[in-house]
Amino acid sequence: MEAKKIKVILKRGLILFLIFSLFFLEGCWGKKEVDQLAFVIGIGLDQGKKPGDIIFTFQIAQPKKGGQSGSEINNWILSTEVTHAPLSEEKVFEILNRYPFVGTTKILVIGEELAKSGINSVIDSFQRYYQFRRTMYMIVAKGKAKDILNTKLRNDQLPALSLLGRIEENKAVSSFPVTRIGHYLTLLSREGQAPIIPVVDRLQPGEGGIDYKGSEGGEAEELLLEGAGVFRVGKLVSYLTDQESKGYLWLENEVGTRFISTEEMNGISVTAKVIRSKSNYSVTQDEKGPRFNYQLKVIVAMTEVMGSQPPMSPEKWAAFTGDAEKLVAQAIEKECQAAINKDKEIPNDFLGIGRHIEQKNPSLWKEVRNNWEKTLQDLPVDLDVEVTIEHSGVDRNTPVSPVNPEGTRQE
Amino acid sequence: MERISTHQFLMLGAGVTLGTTFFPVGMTVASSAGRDGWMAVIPAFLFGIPFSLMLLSLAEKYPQKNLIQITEQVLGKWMGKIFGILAILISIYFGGLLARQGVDMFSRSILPLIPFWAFLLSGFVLVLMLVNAGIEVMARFCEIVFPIVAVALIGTALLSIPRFEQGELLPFLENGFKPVLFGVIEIIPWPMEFVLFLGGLLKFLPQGQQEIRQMRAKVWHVLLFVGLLNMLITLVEIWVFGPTEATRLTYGLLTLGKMIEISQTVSGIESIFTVIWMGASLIKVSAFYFLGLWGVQTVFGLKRGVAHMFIIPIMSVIPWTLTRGADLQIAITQADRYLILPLALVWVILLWGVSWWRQRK
Repeated sequence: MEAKKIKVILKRGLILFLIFSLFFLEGCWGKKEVDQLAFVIGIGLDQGKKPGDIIFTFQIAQPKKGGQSGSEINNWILSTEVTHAPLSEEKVFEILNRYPFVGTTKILVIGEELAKSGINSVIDSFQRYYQFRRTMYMIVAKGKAKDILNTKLRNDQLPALSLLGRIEENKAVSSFPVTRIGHYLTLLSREGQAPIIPVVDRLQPGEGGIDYKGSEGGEAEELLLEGAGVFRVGKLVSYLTDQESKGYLWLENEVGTRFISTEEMNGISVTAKVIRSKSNYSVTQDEKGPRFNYQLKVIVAMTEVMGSQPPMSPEKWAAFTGDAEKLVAQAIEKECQAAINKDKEIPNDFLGIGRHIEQKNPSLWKEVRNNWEKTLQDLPVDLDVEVTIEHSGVDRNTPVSPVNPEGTRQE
Repeated sequence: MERISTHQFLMLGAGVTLGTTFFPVGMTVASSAGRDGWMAVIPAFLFGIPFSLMLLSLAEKYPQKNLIQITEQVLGKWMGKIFGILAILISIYFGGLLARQGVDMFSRSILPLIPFWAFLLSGFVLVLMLVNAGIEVMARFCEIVFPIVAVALIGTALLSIPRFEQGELLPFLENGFKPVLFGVIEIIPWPMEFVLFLGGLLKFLPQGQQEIRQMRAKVWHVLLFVGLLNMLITLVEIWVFGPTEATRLTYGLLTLGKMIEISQTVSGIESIFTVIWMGASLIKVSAFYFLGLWGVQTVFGLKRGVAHMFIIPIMSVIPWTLTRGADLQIAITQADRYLILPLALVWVILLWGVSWWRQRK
């Protein structure tokens, strides 16, 4: 009976203790309210003015108070020059009186100068600090990263968000490579493959065949993602042109959808939309040594035929489609060949031919790995591109119109 | 006397064997066997099967006795005491290390500012509640928590598919079987943790012939399934990070959790997973607490309450001795390699061998 009483008292005491504790439990240690945080969307890294310093540019998206829709945000940009990455967060706090929350960082823009001098030690914090994610996208800026993030876009979008939108929709228009920091780190540790990172540049009206009406002063108000930078041991060693980086995308199986136009043949050129693409590779060896072979199978839809065609029967059209497939294949080959030539020329194996050899023929890789750059330069690389035009839209030949009074059509 | 059913034996065994092994598995095997590390996992876990079967055969011969009591009967009282004291010390020490590992996981990933005593205090309260409720309640806890942990692991693996690096697993066996063998040796102590726990659990197992037969089959299921889960996580870690990065990451699974994105709307769900991993950690720490408790009760003939007084201070001090995460990793590996593995190997083989030899005579 006595023991029962004690148990009841203990139970009541415990319940009271738990209720009482509620008043003192305010949540996690060091918790911060949302309005104490500054949500970082993009970070820019540039070489500092002093040797060893890094300029960190934070692009902070701050929800607008009283905005008409929930998605309206203020664009806060802040640059600090520090010696070590984590110190930049302290600086942001000192200035903004908000804790920078870097868990929302999606874009990491690296300035050209810093990229050339090496980024491996600078990005250590981005893969170590628990708030960062390995899914962040990396971009190399032509010029300064700070300028990219400070660009005032015509649609008032945050540059980091604008870039993010394009990168995440990359499969819809695969015209530049995509590199997450996790992917970069994985490639960094590979022996037979060098990482590449897409390049962003500020685009002034009229540059690169693109025109738009900017505000007075001629400042760039658009950003162009095109081409890529090739890295070797963390240093930017070369740039890929638009054509070369597109070649890389074909060979590395990273083409989702995109357009490709052919050269003219008998006054006719074709533009096709890629529906599916699959690349494969094989390694062979003969008396002359190893050979590398890429095989590409691409399914496209014809989206434009330029030039003038006579009316065609279904049979004639089928024959023309066969010829057009060859034209598209040539256009793809041209891009791929540009990438292969660049891979050999640098020579820094961004295509990962060495890694592919290791995958297919490990014993051959063991033979060539110590002298890989020389071997790569001399390695014959073959290319087989097979294109199938699945359909040509809702029409066959190009539009025709009568040219003489008898009503006969042009030939 | 408490008894658990054969199904509870399955779930308890799986929960204890799995524990938090999925945290270091990728790093451990990849550092020995590189991209072939995943091949080392299942053979290592299957290594525990003969030892578990030996223990079940001893349970059949000496019903309602734990391993210490059987040792006292077969090898003599003093041998029983020596093995018993070793088991007590190792289990309490290892339980303390695992408790610290649970805290380490939280500190590194989502809650870096919470002092580790706060984690330890709350964790120990839960462990004590589980242990105090008895092995049957612990088995029921495993029946609920283990499937959740398994589903979370499989879910993490599936949601990581978009992050796979093309062809990262190739080529297979580039450097032959030798590195894989080294990988197996690295993690062989892990199933032996379960073997030690089973030694204490023998007393609470069903005694019927048919049930013992069922448990023999279930031992296979336990070790194979846990081996498969760990292999899956290792495979995914190597596939996503590559062997070099997988070796560099302390808790690869936590990093995988941070990389999960569903469409463009859901990300940052690693904290949900972390709560689940805490359940796995609780099971493992409780298992070693149980082992220590049974040992103290058997060797020194103490009552449950007094035995708690013996274990609590030692087990709660051990985490305080390891404030550096780097030291913790080494301490756990060394405890596994130089304490748990030799003890389980020598004890079970010796006891089973002598028992078998006497029966032949």
